[in-house]
Amino acid sequence: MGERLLTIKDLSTHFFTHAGVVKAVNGVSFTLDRGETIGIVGESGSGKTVAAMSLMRLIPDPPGKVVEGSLMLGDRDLRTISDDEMRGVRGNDIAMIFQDPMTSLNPVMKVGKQIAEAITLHQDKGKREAWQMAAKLLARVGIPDADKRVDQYPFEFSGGMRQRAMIAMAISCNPDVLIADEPTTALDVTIQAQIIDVVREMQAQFDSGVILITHDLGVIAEISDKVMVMYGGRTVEYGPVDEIFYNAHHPYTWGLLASLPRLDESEKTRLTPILGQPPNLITLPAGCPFTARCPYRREECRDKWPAHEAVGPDHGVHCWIPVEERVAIRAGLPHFKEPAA
Amino acid sequence: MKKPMRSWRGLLIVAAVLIVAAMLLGACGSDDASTDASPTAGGEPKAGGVYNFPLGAEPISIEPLNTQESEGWHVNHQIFQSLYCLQIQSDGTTTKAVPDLAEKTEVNADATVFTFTIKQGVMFQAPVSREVTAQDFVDSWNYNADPKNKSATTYIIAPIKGIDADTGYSEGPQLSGLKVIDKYTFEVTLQYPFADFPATLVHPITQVFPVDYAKEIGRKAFFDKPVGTGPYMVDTWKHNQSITLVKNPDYWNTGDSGNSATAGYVDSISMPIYTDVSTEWLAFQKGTLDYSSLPTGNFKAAQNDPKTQDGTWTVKAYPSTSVYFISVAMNKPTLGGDENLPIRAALNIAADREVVSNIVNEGISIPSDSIVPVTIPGYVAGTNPYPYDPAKAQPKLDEFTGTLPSEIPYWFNSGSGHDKIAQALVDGWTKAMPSLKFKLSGVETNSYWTQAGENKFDGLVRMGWIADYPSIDNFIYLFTTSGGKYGSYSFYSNPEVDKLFEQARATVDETERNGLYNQAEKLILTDAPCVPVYTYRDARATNNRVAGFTYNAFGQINMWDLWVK
Amino acid sequence: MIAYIIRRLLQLVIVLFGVTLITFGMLKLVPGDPAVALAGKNATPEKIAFVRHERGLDRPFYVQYIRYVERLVHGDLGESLYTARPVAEMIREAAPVTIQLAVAAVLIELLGIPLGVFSALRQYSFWDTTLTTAALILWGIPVFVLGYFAMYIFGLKLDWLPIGGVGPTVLGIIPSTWESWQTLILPALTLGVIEIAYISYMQRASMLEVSRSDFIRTARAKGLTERKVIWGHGFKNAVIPVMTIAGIDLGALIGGAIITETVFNRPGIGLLIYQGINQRDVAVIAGGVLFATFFFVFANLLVDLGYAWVDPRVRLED
Repeated sequence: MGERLLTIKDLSTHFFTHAGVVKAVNGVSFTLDRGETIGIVGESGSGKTVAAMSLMRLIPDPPGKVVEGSLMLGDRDLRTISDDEMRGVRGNDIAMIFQDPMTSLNPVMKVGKQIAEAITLHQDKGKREAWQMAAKLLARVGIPDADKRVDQYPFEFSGGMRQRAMIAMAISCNPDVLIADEPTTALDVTIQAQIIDVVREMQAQFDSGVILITHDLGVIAEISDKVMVMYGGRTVEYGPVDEIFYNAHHPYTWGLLASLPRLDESEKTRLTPILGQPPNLITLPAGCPFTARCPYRREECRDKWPAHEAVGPDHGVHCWIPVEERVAIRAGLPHFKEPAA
Repeated sequence: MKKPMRSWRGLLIVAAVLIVAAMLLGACGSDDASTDASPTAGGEPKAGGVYNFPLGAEPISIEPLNTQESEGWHVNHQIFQSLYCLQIQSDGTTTKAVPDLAEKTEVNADATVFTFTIKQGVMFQAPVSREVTAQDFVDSWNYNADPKNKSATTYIIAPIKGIDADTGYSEGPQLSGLKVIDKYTFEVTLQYPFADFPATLVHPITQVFPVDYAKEIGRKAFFDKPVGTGPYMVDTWKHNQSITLVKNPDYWNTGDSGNSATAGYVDSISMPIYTDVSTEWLAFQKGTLDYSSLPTGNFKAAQNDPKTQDGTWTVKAYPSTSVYFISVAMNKPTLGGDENLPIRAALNIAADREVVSNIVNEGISIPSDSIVPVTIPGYVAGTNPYPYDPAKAQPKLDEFTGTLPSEIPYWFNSGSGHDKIAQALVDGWTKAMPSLKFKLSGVETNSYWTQAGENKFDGLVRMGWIADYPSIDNFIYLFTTSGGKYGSYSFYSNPEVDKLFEQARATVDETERNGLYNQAEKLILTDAPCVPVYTYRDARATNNRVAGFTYNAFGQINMWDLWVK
Repeated sequence: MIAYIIRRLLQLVIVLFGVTLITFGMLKLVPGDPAVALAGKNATPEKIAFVRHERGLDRPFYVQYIRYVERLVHGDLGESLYTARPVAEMIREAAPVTIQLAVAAVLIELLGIPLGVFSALRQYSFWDTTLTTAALILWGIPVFVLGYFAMYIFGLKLDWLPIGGVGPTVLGIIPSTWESWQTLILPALTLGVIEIAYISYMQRASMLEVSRSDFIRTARAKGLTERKVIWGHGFKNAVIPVMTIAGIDLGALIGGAIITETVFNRPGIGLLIYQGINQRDVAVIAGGVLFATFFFVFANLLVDLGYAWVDPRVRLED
């Protein structure tokens, strides 16, 4: 792997609302290297998007605030640099692709202008040149007839094309870090694969580090090097992608894997949903947030957050269940009967 | 606020020859004693300045042909003159018709032929600038009576021979009743005796104007800038915005010719149109206007305003020629007929006019004891045989031998505060006579008058009447058989009243004539076909920057008498 | 685009005929007969019948209407029942007064847009709360109350401005003297301020909604300055719904003009309609309403064109 791009340590982001303090992210740590892709997985409200937005310093304040942790981009501390400097980071060093391409583009501004805007902002380029670059970028992300398309409005684009345009916009300044927040969720399955391909290509081309936020382990499997599983604002397990898929140690990770449709399942596909409701982020227990839904919970779970436990190379988990017991339970789960090679 | 003028329709009779000589008092307007002495007096009159007088609406017309509502009359009055004009009498209240351009009036024995001799040297304003002749009067009246010209006020000249009784316009190209005798004399033949005919000659439709000139410049141009004989002339009329009058530099009456207007003092009269009376009142307070009507509910406050107290303003209520009364539907079962007389009399006895005047009308109105307003010549106080005495109401009602109506309908036109007056009266009635029940019904104004005219209402019918000219005839007519149908909507008919009315019309001697009208009045009041309630007074504020202000019962202001201190 | 405008103008013609029909119909349905008023209150039935016939008021409703439309096609709006003045001339005199007021009020009304944005950007701050509360209070005040109040304070007590009236103009609508400008200030403010309240309130809501939208987040993620995010991306989107409201609001403006012109003594279309209604002068009312409708539809057309200019979705899909 290449140089270390991001070092996130103990990130906590809370929202101070009338109803109470929403503890959206609690003590999350991870790193990202050049050329590396980290997948952050978890259901809605698990804190993955908030973690990414904290990184961009785009948490609306008030009510939100990064209350703890250090966010280092190389040797720059993203928590302390000035607003101006931060604006220089956004779109230039860290770029972002958003979930819904239908609403994430300005409906009354030409696509070309929306891309060129970022170019003129961060690079020493004139408007004309930026416009030409925008057309090239569109072509690069696979939009046919880009010279004409660059002059069109978002509503003249299909959903997949808009997401390509978003990607073009995000890569326009050759960012070190590309955050893709559920880039395929709103798209048709066939388009999803194309978009993932585009992201992968672009990453290869620019040698960026990619943070892929998703609730879909399938997407993760395709593109990620590392996976971080989040639940209730906490990292419950992290590790290399193969480790997570074939040697998962956290009951929540098991749940996620169980709900993944598998093409190699010869019998009819049985999806096993995780029972219960996502946690209320205001009244989180001091211990493991998954306690209430965990079929293997025990007394200590609720009140105390388990310490980090290394269970493999670069693979860690936070769980009170003793490791032998975890392995035994996992062996009994249908999805883990035959670990694939 | 704006008063529509009402009218009467003519009937008949009798005779005598007499010369109604000019009753010379002061200049047309008021004789000396009635001039309001204190605040308006301010040393010697001097020329110059501008008088700022608001109009409450765009006048429908300011020319003789079609001047009809008070706004138009305010303007018209400064520009035009007729044979007679209005004059406040020495009692300060009565307003009478006195000769203006008429030098001499002669009438035949049965009051059907009038011969008028006009003053010499009366001049039309520029650009006509020629002397007025008898022919001009005849031409003016013929022009106004012509159906082509669509005047809305020909009912005033309806007594003249040649007016079609059905249409109200002239039958032929010229009125057959008009005849020029010589340059300054013309003769008017009436269709029926009408001794008080000269009183009608204060109305705009009888004014003289240069018909040839009007025809020459065209109807529209004359409408906008008509030419008369008066002390002021039209400078500009910006429609819906303002009218400006300027002093007539060549005004004919330089000396003192009888009652006629003298030359004016102020250089010009600015008449901006203020549709909203509250806005007008604000503009007056600011000093933009020299005159203002008062919005409902502001009279007492205006009187107590420091500026009124220190004499900067005068706030006064001037009695009008109006009478507010409740007609009884005399041809209907509820209250009509002789058998119901005790109920009608009791309603008169218990009608608390003081409460209506003092509480509902802010003290502006004067309680009425007759159908004739105090301002009209021939008014006699204390005519009502059923004066207010609530204790006597129930005994009067007890004289009634039949079955009391389960409820007495009381009709009024909605939206002008008549509901409050009705409620005040009903409160007084039910307090004095608990056995009576009333049902109040408000009807939209336009259809109210239509339905009243069609005799659709039973019970009590709210009415009002404003005189068009200063004659008691106006009011007695209301309760003749004809007037009962077209005027008071009481559908009252008493042959004795009709007979006295006709006799009065044919009586040339004024005292004798008014005596006959009073007899008829007494008969009417005794039959109680109505409950007279009040005579309204016009509440007005004037700025004492300007002196010489008078306001007669017809709301006329002689602006040529005004001068800026 | 041209085709669009032509189609809208054709619609306008249809609307205008519909409006005359409705005006005529309503005046037929409401009780009361103008002939009674014209003939005088104590007129005999014969006199009333004569007047009715003479003015053509006895003809069936559809005949009266068809005759009116026939004349309308030739540009003749008829004449006033009372003054016999041509209605077209009355409209010509009154229209500039109303247009002057409406244009001034709209210009004032547009101040609501920056105020709304200002408020939205400081959501829940002291200024936001103050402005929002003031807007709601103003919005609830009837025009005539505000009008009298304004005249009382600025005209009478402070003696800064004249009470009522109009002044000389150039080109019919631009005040040509300082006094003339002064007469315009209070009525335009009275009419405009209430609309400011409405527009700023809507603009605030719209701006808040837009500022929460995804594309604003995208713009921020690009590293744009807050100013560019708000004005470059947010404002244009937030102003579109407000423009629609402002367009529809022009109708309310004409309604408000009836009261404003009466209170402020301005001889415009509103006052003309008011007096026409008082006198049941059909041709005057119909003429005034026709003008008001024309003004309303025309103003809406302008707003739609402006809308198309701002929003490519409208412009390009047509």
